[in-house]
Amino acid sequence: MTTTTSNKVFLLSFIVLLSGCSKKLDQYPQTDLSDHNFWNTTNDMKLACNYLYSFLPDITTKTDDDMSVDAFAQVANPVSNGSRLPSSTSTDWSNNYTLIRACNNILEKSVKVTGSAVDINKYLAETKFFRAWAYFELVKRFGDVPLILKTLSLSDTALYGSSTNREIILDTIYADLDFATANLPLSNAQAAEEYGRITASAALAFKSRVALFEGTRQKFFGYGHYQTHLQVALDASNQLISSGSNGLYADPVHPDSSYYYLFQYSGEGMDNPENILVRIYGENEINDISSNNYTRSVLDEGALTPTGNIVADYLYKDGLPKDKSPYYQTQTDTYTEFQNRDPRMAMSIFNKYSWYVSGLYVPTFEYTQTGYRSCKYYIAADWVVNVSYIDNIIIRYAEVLLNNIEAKFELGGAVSDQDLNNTINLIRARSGMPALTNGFVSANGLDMRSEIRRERRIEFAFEGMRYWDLLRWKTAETELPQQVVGAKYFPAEQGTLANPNLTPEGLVIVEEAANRKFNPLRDYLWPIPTKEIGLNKNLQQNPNW
Amino acid sequence: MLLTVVRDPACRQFPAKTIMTLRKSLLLLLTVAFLHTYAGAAAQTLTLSVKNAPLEDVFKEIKRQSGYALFFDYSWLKQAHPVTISASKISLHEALDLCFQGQPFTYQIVNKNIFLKLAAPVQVKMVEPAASVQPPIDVHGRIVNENGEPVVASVIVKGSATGTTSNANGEFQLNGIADNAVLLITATNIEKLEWPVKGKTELVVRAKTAVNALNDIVVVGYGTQKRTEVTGAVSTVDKRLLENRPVTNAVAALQGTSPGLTITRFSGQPGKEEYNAQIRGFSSINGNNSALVLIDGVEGDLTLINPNDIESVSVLKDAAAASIYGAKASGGVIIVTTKKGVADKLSFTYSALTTFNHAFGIPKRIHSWEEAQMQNEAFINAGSNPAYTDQQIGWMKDPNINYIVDPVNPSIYDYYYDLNQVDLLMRKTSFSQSHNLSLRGGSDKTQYLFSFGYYDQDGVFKFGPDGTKRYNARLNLNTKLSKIFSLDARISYSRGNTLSPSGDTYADYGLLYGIYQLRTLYPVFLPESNNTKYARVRSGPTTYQILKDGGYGETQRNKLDGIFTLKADNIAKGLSLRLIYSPGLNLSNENDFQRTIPLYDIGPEPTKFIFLPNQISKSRILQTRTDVQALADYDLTVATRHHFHLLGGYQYQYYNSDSAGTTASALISNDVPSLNLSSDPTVPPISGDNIQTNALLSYFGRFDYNFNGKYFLEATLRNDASSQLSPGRRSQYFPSVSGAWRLNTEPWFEGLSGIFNEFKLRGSWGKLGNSNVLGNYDYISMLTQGPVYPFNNARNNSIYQSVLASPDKSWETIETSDGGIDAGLLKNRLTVNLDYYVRRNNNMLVVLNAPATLGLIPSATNSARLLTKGWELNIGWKDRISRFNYWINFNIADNTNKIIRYDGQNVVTEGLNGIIEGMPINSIYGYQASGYFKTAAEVTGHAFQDDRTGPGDIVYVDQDKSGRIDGGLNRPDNHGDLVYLGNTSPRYTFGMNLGFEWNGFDFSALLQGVGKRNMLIYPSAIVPFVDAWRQPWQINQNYWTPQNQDALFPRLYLGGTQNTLTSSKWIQNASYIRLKNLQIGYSLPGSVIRRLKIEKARIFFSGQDIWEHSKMWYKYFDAESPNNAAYNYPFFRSYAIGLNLTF
Repeated sequence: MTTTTSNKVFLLSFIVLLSGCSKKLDQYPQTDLSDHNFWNTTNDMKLACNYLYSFLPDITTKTDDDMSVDAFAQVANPVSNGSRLPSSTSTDWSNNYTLIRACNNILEKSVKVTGSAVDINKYLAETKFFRAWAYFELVKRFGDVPLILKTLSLSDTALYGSSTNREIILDTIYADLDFATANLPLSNAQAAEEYGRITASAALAFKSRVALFEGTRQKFFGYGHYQTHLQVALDASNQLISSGSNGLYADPVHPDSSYYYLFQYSGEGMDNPENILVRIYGENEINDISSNNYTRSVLDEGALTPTGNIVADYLYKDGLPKDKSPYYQTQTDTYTEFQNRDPRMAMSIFNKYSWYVSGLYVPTFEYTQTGYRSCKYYIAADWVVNVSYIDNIIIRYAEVLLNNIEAKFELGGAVSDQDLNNTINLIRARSGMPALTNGFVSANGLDMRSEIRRERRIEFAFEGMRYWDLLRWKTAETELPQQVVGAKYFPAEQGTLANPNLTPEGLVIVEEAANRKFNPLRDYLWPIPTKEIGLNKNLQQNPNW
Repeated sequence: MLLTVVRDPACRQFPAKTIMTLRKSLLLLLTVAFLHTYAGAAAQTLTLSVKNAPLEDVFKEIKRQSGYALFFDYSWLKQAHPVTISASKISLHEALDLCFQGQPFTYQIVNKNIFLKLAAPVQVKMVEPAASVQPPIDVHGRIVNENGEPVVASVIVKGSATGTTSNANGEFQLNGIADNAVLLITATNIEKLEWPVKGKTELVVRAKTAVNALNDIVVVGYGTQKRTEVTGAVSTVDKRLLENRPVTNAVAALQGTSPGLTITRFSGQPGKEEYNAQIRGFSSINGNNSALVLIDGVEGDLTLINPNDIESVSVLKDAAAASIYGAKASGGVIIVTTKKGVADKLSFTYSALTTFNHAFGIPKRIHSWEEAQMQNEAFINAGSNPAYTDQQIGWMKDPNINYIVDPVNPSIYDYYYDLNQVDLLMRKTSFSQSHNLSLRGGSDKTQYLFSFGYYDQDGVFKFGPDGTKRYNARLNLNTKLSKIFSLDARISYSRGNTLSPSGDTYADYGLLYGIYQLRTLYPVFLPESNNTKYARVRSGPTTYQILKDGGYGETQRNKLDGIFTLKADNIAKGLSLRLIYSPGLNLSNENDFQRTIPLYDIGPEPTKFIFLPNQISKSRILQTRTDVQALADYDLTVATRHHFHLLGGYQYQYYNSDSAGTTASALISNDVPSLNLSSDPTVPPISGDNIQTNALLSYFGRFDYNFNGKYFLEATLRNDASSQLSPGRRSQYFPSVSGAWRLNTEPWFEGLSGIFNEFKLRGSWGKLGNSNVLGNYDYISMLTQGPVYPFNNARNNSIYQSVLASPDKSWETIETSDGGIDAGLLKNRLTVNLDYYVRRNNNMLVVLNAPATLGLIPSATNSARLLTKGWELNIGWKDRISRFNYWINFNIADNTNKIIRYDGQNVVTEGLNGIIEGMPINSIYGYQASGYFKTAAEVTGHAFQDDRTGPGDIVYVDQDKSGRIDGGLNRPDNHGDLVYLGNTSPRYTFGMNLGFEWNGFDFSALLQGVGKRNMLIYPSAIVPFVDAWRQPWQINQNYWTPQNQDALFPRLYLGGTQNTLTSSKWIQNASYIRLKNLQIGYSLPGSVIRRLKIEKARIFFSGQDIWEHSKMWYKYFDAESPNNAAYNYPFFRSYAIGLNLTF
């Protein structure tokens, strides 16, 4: 190679090099989707809607009962005892707005989608259900909150807007749920492979929950037009009840223990008409898509233990409370108090004749501050492996029945025996409890409102409902500052406690009344995360926080 | 070749005065009257144009253009006749041949030295011939430096024209010289030496390496410069500091070696230390601000390179030095050059290092009954019932009762052991070793270096997978293809193989957490099982089980890099071209096996499992890099004083990362972790892939002007275009200018020249980009896969938008101004470098704090500005007293930063605050602690803190007198009782290295430290019983009781988070000084080893991290640990014995 030739070769390679690489600056994602290549088919909408289901409350939200006096964790709950301070951030706030954005995004982007109107509307309906869900989660905690109905950019002024009156938000929730009801199938019309997706039944049931919450709240706090909301609750629950799409669970093998098996694997799936809205866990250790540790990490390790406070409220099998029933007897061992009680007590709380992991349950104070342990959703077979696939029932038919009777009672001040038979007494009958009648109430000096509320407390014990009920009834200020007690202390059965602090009756004191406070001028609404107020000067903190 | 005779008037204009000053400086440098040395910048081809010029002037020109030094006897020039040459693009050999046509000289070129010889031996009369009564003798000599390495030098008999040069082995032969002759020995890299023969015919001449550091050649962006000509802030790291260190990798070895270069590490886990090299602190709040690492001109990985392959390291700190690298250089640049072959016979070097590592900073645990008693107290204080009865505590103390059958549940044991698993699992001493082998040699045309390295380190755990290995192989080959073209090929392969236990070792709920913080009352094995069954323990440690039987995590990194440079020298007059092609291949294999471990209670069946189902994950990541560069250098000298250098370049970089991973669970076999063994065919393994690509296209140029070695001006301009930005916003210019003035070259400076040998002022300004923080496709509205949902017990995928797209995003541009002084004093024995700089990140990317109503993470926007100011000082002293050769270097640097613009809402929260306008990055806000509450009355009398607050809890100062301790509105104008508690950036980072060599002994020490740093510790690790299972350590026994009010820790309290708020109580002053490295070596005397055919043999001791002092009162964490660290893998003290052999 002569020098001149090599010069040319060299210069040529320079030129090739310079021209060859210049056009390679356009790089596109190869393993991810983007807005450009999505939002075309109804299946795209389905994929987008699937994301919304990850916001359904997981089973650990049952520990919301720790915020009442019906359950206690290993340490005192700061909401329950009134000691909490406003936090700077909170997922109770941010997660719901994340869900709202995802919903608004689907509603906006799906205009590009082509496909059958029925399918498109079905996914729009699911989306609107979730948006309603998020707003109710916000309103029940924080009251007035910013109402965002479109996707925002950083430059949108709405990002720094003030809160919207709750009435307007509730109207939006109702409208969204009405759209969902109109465009989704009822539970009994749903295809099997679709089980778990939102139904018209879920929309109606949820609507009755929302409207009952707001109706009773307006009534007891004295604002707005509570009758309107109670009527919505009544109508929605009536519509669902009369549709016949759902019913109470009856266990085919153990009908007497249907209430227990409702919360075991046998109660899972669409064969159980009581399941209106569930969060699915599945399938099993082999096909491990999504699981929980509820049995071991929550129930067994004492993150949600029943208290003596709720135990005292269980009726005896004659339908009478502790202070009126002849069945009541002084406790001589840990089992006395389970005798002749509402059968739901033994189906919700372990006693020494309950089957535990690999033998009979042994009462203990180990990993339970109260000495009680709940067996609702406790799956013995899952204990060893510490992984559980039990679905979380979010709305079940029993709630719709109780929403219905309560709305009717609070609206009219009275209910007929027929009304009771159509609602409460179906639930009582399933558990083996006598019927509640107007006559029984007056004969025994009881009070109908209290009995309706007691039914709710007992039926939904350790399902995370109680605290929210106390808020809307405006009874939190009397219920929450109570002393929290556990079981009666029987060292021979439960093992010895080093320095037990006991009531005169011998119950273990879990938290003294002196340590528990509830400020009615403050605690009925939650504090808005302070960082949000710092970021948005138009956002007002809730009173007295 | 072009050869014509032309007239060059410029030659005549060479002013006499300049020659005078030139001569003076030459005299200064060489201090010899009749020997003349020229050293100059490297340039391979020459252009000469002289007419009737004295040979001396021609030599000057040759040295200036070629960078080769000439050695000759000045008196010989009297015999020389003037020269006329006009030639361009000729080689050095051709130039010398032209010069010496008809001259009475010949020459020899050895290692950039040109040694002149008289063409025929000339009989020169001795000064005192009569005095010499002895007959002449023949002398054979060998010249070595203080390390025993051969030295190529000129050897001349003093006062005569007789001379020769030593060969590559340092050997020379002089025949027929007087027996009392004195030999004058000179070369650029040694100090001038006079060696009397004293009648000996075999001589070993010990030369001393020159200390004129300012004449070093410094590697800068895309080229080299003489230290005196550098206008930017560049420091170099002495190769000596990188060699023979018992460190994991080259980054570790750089710690403390250079001012402004801060090396941090995350943990001591072999292969997972997560080193970061930061130059001059934060330039951005984003990313890790790490420096751009270039190995032989292309991006590389310092953790994988063999430290023994490194020839030089340059640290480019200011914008002027780094801006030639444009968009990626905002964190500064570390340029590593690997060793090359030499034109010499094959030499063979072997070095070995055996290291004993001793883990330190491990928490001291206490007995189980002590834990139990403290736990009871914590429970009682929190209003709960005590956890243990006195009887149970008694059993813990009783060595004969370790367990009982549970009285109420006969299927389980209650355990009352006292088992400190730290002692059970962690080694006192672990072992590491390294071996390096290199072959070097070559001819005039082709030189080669081949090296092989092996490094192996064991971890701290007594058993289980824990350790790392590295293999390095390198071939550097350069060959001259023709007169113009040469090829340089550098091929390196490295393989890193790290084995670690399943799951995290560090972090909360990791393996170390298990043995550091969980209860000691549990056993590992089920009693009466003969150590065959693991016991099920409630909230007890499972570290033993996981280490021994829980599977492994394995990371293999295979890296193959090639850098091929085709170079054309002097393709036109003064012009040389380089074409560089560098492919890179990085294949990472990650295999993670979680093996199911059964745990037992009484009874034959396991009652619990760890890792159920078992699971194997495998991922394969293939990263390819293409780097193509075309560079042109043009040299021009006008009127001999105006020196211009132009660099033009083009670069295209393309990265592609393609990864695929699969996870299979519920395998049929618990011992054969294979994807094939998924037990249920209806549940296939889960797979995924990810492809990431980006491309960067750049043009750049540099202009250097140098007026007579006195004034220097440099300007660079680079344009980068990146695929990571949206079209239309892709390209940006990065300019810089810098200048320097060597005051010592001015006539008026002469008065000071007795003190200062060098005094240079530098100034620079430039802009750099920070593209490291951009995602590859940020401008596209991406959709993300969400969680799967089990409708119909199938994996139903979900899709959502997780982040806002940011089409308007641009990279950060960082502007730096720098002023500096370089000085050499007292014969250059003392060197001082000082820099002050101001740096602005004008459009820093930040994720604006948006209200949560936005509903997703806002993307980062260019909406903040960061100002950093800092200084660096380096002082060095090198000298020699007789055979005692010693040096000491001290460097210190500091910088402070402040966010001067932030467009988002400022939020002040308790803990670390990344960004608040007007404050430094990572500002800590917390409560001012003021002792402990002594009485209940004090609690009620104080502002409300927490419902749980009681005597023995920390008192927080109610700054705003609101009667309540809180963060107010968490805004800068209202942050309640939160006060600024400093920031986490290290201040006053310093390093000092010192050492000496004497009679074969060598000693060196490197001290390194940080003068000031605030450190946050993970609160749950500080205060026991934040969760019931978090047990106290020995240090926690000093807690508050009414009798111990000045305690280190507050009262014991179950879930006592009222005491773990960020407060002045827990902020540690993490300043420290550490003896990073200590080396003591001995080189065996040549007389001993030569008989063994060994050129050099050195044995040494090297210690790493063997001593430190820190101001932290909480001693369980090392001062180098990151913030919020807890349960970190410990660091090691390393003691190594090593051997270097050269054959």
